[in-house]
Amino acid sequence: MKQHFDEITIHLPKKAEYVGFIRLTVSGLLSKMGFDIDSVEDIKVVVSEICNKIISSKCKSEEQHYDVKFHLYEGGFKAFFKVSDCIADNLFKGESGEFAKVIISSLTDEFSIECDDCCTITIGKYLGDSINANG
Amino acid sequence: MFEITQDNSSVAGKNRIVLSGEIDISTVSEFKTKLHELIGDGTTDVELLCEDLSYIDSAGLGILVGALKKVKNHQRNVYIYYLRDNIKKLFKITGLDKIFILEEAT
Repeated sequence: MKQHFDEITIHLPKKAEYVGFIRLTVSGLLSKMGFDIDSVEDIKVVVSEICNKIISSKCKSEEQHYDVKFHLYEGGFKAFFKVSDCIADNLFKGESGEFAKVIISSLTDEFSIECDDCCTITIGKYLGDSINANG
Repeated sequence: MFEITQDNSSVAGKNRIVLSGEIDISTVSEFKTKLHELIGDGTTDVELLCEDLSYIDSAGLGILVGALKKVKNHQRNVYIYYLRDNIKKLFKITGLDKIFILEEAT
């Protein structure tokens, strides 16, 4: 990916009713960048998985919001989901947590979870073969 | 919109359940409760008809696995019919296509 990127940050309540909003947002951004429809659908699934895990996890923090930051490059995008005072084990707990991690890593080119004072889940997808011929 | 109903036209010895809509964070709790109610003690084979199921997330997949364990305890099985391609993809990614019996037709 090239170094130059556009950055978009969204500050979201930890509520299920806003997951649809972020799914629509990512769908619009990726379509505009030229990703094909299959890749857009894959990333919508990934975004839902991450947001659902953040919303349903039992974190220490009283903070009722989390941040989603997008970096849009010429050759792809990255998204950073930042949640306060959580640990990775709480975010991806149990059998469904393992399923979520397998789904996310399979449908993205980059996937990582880093936790210190807060947890940041990073995903990335390159345009590569995913370019929409009509885009 | 999510719905789970029992199909009373079930063949004897088969428990046929129809799933439709989306199973996600807002419906997963209802899905878990109703599925376990319909499966009961798990002593019959379960057929899940998923023609109108448009989405299921990892939590929903976990609940399906829980239901499978319940019926497997009684040497029964879960048969899943008519999965849409987007959902079948998730079953393949997670390896669940090897654990459940995925069928194209009843």
